[in-house]
Amino acid sequence: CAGWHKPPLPAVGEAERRWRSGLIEHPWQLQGRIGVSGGRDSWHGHLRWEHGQGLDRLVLSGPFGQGGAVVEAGPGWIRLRYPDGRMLESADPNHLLHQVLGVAVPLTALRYWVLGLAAPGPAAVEHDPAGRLRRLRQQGWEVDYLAYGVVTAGALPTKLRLLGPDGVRVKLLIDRWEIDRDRT
Amino acid sequence: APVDALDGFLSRVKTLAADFEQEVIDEHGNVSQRSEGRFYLARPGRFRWEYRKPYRQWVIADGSKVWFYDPDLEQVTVRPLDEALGSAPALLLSGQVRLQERFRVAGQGSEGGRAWVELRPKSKNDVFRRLRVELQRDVLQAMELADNFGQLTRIRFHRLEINPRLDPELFRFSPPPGVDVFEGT
Repeated sequence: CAGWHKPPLPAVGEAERRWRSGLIEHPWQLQGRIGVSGGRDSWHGHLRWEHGQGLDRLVLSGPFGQGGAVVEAGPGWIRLRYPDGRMLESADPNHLLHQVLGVAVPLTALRYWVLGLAAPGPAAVEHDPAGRLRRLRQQGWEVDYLAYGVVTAGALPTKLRLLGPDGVRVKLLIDRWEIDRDRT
Repeated sequence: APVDALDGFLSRVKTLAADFEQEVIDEHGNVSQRSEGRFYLARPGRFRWEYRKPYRQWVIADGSKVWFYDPDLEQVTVRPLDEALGSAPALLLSGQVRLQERFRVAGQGSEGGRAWVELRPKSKNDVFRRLRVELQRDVLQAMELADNFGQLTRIRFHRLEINPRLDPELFRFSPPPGVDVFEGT
């Protein structure tokens, strides 16, 4: 997969740092693959994540593009839909995500981690020589940034490995970032 | 009529080999995924989807289980063949079940040698809404699957060979060392 064997990326300038932290409030979409293992059950497939104003939409699908599940989450609510039409709603995102992925990935923190940022609150961080996050420990999780790729105004993570408190491993390979698309 | 064309094609086929292109259209109508690869089939119950671009993945049915392997993720998921057959394109082709048993099958017209057939699951909570099949002069050309999230998956076949001799190894899979294998119930 693309990324790590490319020549080293330019060092992080102030512009990239500002651009990146502004992305939290900016619509973006990522396409890639997600693998969950080491927990109650393992699963892997395609992930499309649309981040918009107050709404995150994660479409998980297996081979042949068929829907595995759709997770929609906003401030204080989360909804999960299965391909056969069943739907679950909850005010507790972590509980519901545990049901879908077999692991309670903190979605609110993941919004920051996937952008190469620490979420608000205490965190132990380690940067690479270019000034980008290499390892992050937060909320009981360890996030390793294995590759970055240049997007519009800077670089974003393209390969992450997350290790959860109960030994769960989540691997995320981001094949495409789309930043300047408004999500209709 | 189109349905006879599909039945005729499926009854003639023992094995198949073809290149395929796959597109997934998201609920906004944008192409969200494009992939291509090689497809092999040995009825009943054995098939091999070898995704080659943009990345390599394998979906292999060995007659009793379906193995789904992603080398970049270093993961294999294994499912019983009948359960995995919820993935309709495989179900249609693998001949595990008589179509009319599980689907309402309706011709969608034909024109200039091309015919379309639509299959809708009889059970309300099947994992997809509709599967449309396109044939040209009684030979499978394409399939389009609509799932319950408003996504469309289109698979188009090229250089289709009917009843070629195929190496049985194509339908066997043994996970490489160090890969996480999970047997779904």
